[in-house]
Amino acid sequence: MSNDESIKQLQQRIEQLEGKIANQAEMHEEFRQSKRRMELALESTNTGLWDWNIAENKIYFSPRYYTMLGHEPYEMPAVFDTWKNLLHPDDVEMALTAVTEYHTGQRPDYVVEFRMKTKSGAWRWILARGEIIERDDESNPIRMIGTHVDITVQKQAEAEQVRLQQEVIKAQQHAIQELSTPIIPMMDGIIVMPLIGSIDSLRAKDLMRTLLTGISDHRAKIVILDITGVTIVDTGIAAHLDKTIQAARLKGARTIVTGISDAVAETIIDLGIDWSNIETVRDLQTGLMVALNRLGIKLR
Amino acid sequence: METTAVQKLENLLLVSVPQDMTDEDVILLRRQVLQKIRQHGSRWVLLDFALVDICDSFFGRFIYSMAEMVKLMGAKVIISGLQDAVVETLIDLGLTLPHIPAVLDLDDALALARSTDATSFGAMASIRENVVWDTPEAKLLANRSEV
Repeated sequence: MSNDESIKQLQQRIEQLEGKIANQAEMHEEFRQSKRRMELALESTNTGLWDWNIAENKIYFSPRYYTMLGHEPYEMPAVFDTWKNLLHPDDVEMALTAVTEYHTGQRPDYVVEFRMKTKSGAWRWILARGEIIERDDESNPIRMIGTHVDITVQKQAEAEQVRLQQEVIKAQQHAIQELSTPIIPMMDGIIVMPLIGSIDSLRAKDLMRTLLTGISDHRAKIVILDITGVTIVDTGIAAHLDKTIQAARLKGARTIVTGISDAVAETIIDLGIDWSNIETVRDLQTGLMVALNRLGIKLR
Repeated sequence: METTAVQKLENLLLVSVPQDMTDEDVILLRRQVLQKIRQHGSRWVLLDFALVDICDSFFGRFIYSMAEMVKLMGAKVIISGLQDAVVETLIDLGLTLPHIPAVLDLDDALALARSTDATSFGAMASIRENVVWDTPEAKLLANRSEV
């Protein structure tokens, strides 16, 4: 090879290498930007990162993973037990089960919510997500990475919402109850209790209480129980009404049941319910007349 | 137990049933009542439960036994003053106490006893006019109505 050719070869080689260096610098810059992007994303969303080497039982926890719980970065040993020991006692079993089931394929993914202890001893709700990214030849997981996001605020908002909903429901139920079992004092010693709607055992108890209080308050001798608004009378409801009538008697009041529709009359007999001891009258007006008669009151 | 729990009022015996009676208290109370019926010839025993907050399992038995014993001595029981909570428990236990008249309070109990006496005394009076009182049974009847 002549000198000129060697020099040309060398120059070409230098160009190639310079090209490669430039390329690498570019790639390096791209990589640096990509890494920076991810770090910013994790930082701005307050996300902690974990990288679990399952085979060697070593875990990498990102700085944010630590600071999220009030600790200094890398303050605790980078092992599986660090995570386990920070879990809330009520959540430990559930969280460990989630990991195991994901590893054995019983779950398609790893998404769990649990509480972790902060340095000051408080509890934060954490949403953990993860994925197995490396398996060995027998398909056993050997590396898993994932994130931790603090969702305490959302959890508290959820709980608050549920609590509010419960309160609203309770208030509505109370209102409905108040509206549906009024006691109407008719005249001295006579009260009317119109029943409307369905009667379950809870309402039946409430009904009895309302009636007993009403009898005491108004010194009622006669109760006119109007069931025009009770659409369904089955053996259960008939039994509830029976008990109510017996209770009223123990407070010295006699009950007259009014407002039995033809459908209800049919049902009662068909079901074999025995109301032969209960005084029943067709409607409220007749009931009132019977009551007045009983009390010896005559209307002119 | 205080002896003031049983008081006589005309031909009635007023019994203020105390809360938390032991088995012994129950026996003593019953005896007192029966004794006083015999002593005064009372026709009514008003059991007032205004002082009783809680109904226990002996409640029903106490009332029934009292009613039966008193009946054998020719008197009748009226119960009054049952509190709402006690009524609820009795109903839950299936103790509806039929055949025993129940009223709201002592006032009503007295009114009931007096009104019933008025009718029965009326009946007794007409019998007295139409009957010759010389058989032993007739003399017994005559004695009773004079009490």
